[in-house]
Amino acid sequence: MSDDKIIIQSESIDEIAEESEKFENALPNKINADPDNVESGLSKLVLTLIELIRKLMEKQAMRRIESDSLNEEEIERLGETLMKLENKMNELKEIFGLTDEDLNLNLGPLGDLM
Amino acid sequence: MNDVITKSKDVTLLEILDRVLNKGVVISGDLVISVADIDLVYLGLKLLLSSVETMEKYRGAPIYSPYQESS
Amino acid sequence: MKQYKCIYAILDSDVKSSDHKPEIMGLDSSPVYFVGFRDISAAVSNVNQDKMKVSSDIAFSYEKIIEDLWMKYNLLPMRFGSVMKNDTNVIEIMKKKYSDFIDNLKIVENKSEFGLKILCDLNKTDFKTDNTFNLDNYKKLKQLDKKSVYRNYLIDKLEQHKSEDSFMKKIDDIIEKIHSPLKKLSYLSNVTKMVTPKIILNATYLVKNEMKDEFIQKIRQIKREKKDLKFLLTGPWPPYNFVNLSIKEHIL
Repeated sequence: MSDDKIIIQSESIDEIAEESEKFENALPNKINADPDNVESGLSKLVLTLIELIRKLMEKQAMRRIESDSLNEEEIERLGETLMKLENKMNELKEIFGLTDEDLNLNLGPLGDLM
Repeated sequence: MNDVITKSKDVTLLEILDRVLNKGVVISGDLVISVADIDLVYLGLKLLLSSVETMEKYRGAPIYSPYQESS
Repeated sequence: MKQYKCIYAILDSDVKSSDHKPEIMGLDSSPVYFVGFRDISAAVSNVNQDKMKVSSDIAFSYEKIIEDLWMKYNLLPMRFGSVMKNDTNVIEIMKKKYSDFIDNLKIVENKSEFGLKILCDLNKTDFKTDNTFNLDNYKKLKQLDKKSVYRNYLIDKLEQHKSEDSFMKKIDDIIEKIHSPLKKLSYLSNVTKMVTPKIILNATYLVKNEMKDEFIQKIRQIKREKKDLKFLLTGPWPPYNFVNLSIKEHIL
């Protein structure tokens, strides 16, 4: 009965299943409160969110540069801040043993979020 | 042939799970015993901000200290 | 064992259990019965546990129960796991949310939900962007000390950013061409763009039953025209995505 819910499908339909799963795993929707797992579950959540903020800030910075509203000194300082932020993030990822994939940062361009 | 059928079933299952677990009317509060054994993902700005605060707290902490839950 | 009440849906009429034959079997092997309030009712069954477990079989069963009800009644499906203490509490919810329920029932009456997901293959030429990044357009950036590591970092980032922007614009155009005609054929719609780099569109449409065929034909037509995209259309579904009621009730 449930099989007839599919009206139109292209070939390689399994791709859609894979992609949907990837998306649903983007943020842990079950925060495992088991004491042994709390640390990694929560750190993953926190880092994912921090990385999201960082990317949004980066996007914002790019728009500022494009809008030509900054002078050279400001641009240089912006570059320094962004680079240090990104390095800090990489440090944190290393400390918690998380990769970009873990944080599911392959969510595509963030254009829409701005 | 079986392969195609299994994959169709997977896709249908995903569609059903998304609707049944994530959509529909939600009731919460004292009159309800529980929502299902699925924790909810909260992506509000509040959580974003408190996450940043939590991270700042631990920035100075030694790498291998045990995680401490703040309430 | 303590019995709790699992609510499956809010129905658009005061259904009497005696009217509904044959019985629909609920989860936990108890039959579905109906609790009425004025001209609406809740479809309920007894369950043994307060925390309902999930499995693919259980999810399928839950959906089947809702579909069986939907064949006869206009309804608002409940999210899985809506469990209450007793029938009195069920009635209380209906009492408190009566007008919201009535309004929402009116919106979904004689309509079905369809889900549309569209994937693209990023490697196909259509999605490649023309990477003509010109540093001359950014004089101030260009003028920074060439040895500055920050300058080069920013140039890289900016190039990446421009590339993403033009890619997004391309996708936006494609989505607009697809969604626009479908929006015209539907009563309501929810659209999410670029859910993942591959799923460029994830949309649900609430379509009047008499428009169903035309809606599906339109998608077939679009699919023929856009051979480089992959489509998944599912439905008709009960209106899970068009029930914007989140009820938080506290006993005073």
